[in-house]
Amino acid sequence: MREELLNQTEFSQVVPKDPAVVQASVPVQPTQQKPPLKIILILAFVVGLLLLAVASVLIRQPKKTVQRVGTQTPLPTAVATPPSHLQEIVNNLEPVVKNADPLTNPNPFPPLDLRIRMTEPKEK
Amino acid sequence: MKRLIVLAAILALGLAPFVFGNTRVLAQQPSRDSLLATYRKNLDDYRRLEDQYTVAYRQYANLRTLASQEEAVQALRSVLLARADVLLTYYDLLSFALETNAGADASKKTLVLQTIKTLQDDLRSHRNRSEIATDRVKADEEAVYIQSQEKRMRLAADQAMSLDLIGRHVAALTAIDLVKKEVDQSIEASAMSETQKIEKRRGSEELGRSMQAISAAITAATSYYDKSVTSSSSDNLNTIASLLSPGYIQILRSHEYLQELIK
Repeated sequence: MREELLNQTEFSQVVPKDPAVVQASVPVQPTQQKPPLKIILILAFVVGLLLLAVASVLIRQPKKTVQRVGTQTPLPTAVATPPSHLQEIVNNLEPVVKNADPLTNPNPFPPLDLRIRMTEPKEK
Repeated sequence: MKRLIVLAAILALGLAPFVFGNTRVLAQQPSRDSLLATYRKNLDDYRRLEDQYTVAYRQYANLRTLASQEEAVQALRSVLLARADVLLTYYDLLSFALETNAGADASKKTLVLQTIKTLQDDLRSHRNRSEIATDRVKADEEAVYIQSQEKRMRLAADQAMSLDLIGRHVAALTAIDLVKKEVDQSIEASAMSETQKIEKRRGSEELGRSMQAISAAITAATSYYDKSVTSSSSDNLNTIASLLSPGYIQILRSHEYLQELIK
């Protein structure tokens, strides 16, 4: 009795299928495998980028314009005349004049403490 | 033959430092900008070290331990060295200003430059002594030394600055004079009408009067400088600047006259 109980499993009552029945059942048709969503997304991204690049190149391309040549020739523009020799030497005086300003001292004495000492500290 | 080669090699090695030494000196001719940059850096270092010394001395005064004393001495030494560096660069700047000042009187310039050089030699000796002053007494002795030199240092700086200022006025007057001569010549040689020429000549005469006023201010400042050299006051620069002020107004006016004359 005990051995019977030991041999009894939850499958012990499953009746094995008849091989004839198994063969007769309709074979399952292999389903067509879809490309994973990840690859589709990457492809879409790449295509999108390409489109964007093409679009930006097209936008940046300058429009071809046809320049019409006028019948009137442009008038010569005024050219700045170079300063004369005298103007130049008078201009060169400016730094010498500024340099003579008595109110600006280019080399003032350095702000140093010349009285630093190290005396013996006083008793408290 | 071998001996000759050895002798030549020794000679070449012996002369090398002089030859390359000279080229190095020529290559490293300082400019005002580089001197000024060094001076500013030295001054920044000095300020930082002075702050550090103040902290170290306060700690020594509070704790009165040997360790705190040693730290304060170290800090004082650093301050003394940094301060000497600032002063040395400052006098380099002053010497440079005088050397490049074409208007300053040559003999007076030589005297001031010599004074600065002697002062710099003394500062270098003080710097060397400060470097080996490892105890409180010696470091303090060096601090006292600089204190005793303050008047002398300020006097030398004052003389150099005064002479430089007078020189800058002389340079301006010389330049104005040169330009005036050229302008006068061009007026005479130009094809303008006689009425215009008369007008310009009047302007030139006005300019001449301005130049006389500049010259008078320079003379007054120079005579004051000559007297101040023998005095021990180190605040002559302000007086000289005030004596030159009317001259500077005339310098500005002369520049304006010249601009009018060439129109």
